Amino acid sequence: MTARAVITAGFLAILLVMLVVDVAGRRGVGPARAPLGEALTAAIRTTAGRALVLGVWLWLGWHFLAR
Amino acid sequence: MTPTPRPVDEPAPVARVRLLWPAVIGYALVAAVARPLTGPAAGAVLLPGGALLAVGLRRVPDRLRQVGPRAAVVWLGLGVLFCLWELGALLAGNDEAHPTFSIFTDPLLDTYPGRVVGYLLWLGTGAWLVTR
Repeated sequence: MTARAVITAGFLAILLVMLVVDVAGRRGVGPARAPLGEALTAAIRTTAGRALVLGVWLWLGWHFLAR
Repeated sequence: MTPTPRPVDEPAPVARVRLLWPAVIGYALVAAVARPLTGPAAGAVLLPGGALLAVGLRRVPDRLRQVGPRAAVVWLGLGVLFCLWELGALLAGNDEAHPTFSIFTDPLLDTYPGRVVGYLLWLGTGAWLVTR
């Protein structure tokens, strides 16, 4: 198995787990018992949380769309 | 007097939503014309990015939601895991043999339709965050 295949499989596995945890969270089950949207909404309740989440969001836009 | 937060599941005011999402779509269609690594692309990201960041930092969310520590640990853990995996690929070479997530998305974002989708996802997420 090549390094590329391992890295690709890792990304896919992490994204798949995120999807499963999110879907389970919408049904109130699973390890998190909350979908990503709810977790983010909770995270932005504080100024520090908003700064962190929006900072990451801005960096993602810069990294993928502008750089 | 402190405004009363809206319940979590109550939708945002209709007028605001009506204006926001067509604006996001229109902006994505125009901004995607700018190719990455150019001045216009930097401006196309920094202009709405800076504006939404400024609004989002000042605005206290209407929808107050609490999740348990378990949810925070799981989602934060998955985010950190993704970042560590990305860092591993970066340190391993950041090339076609050791691709980072950016290398996977570059072919998509090299095309206009791909960039429209990228802007829609990114700007849509930002707009969603500041309208919580």
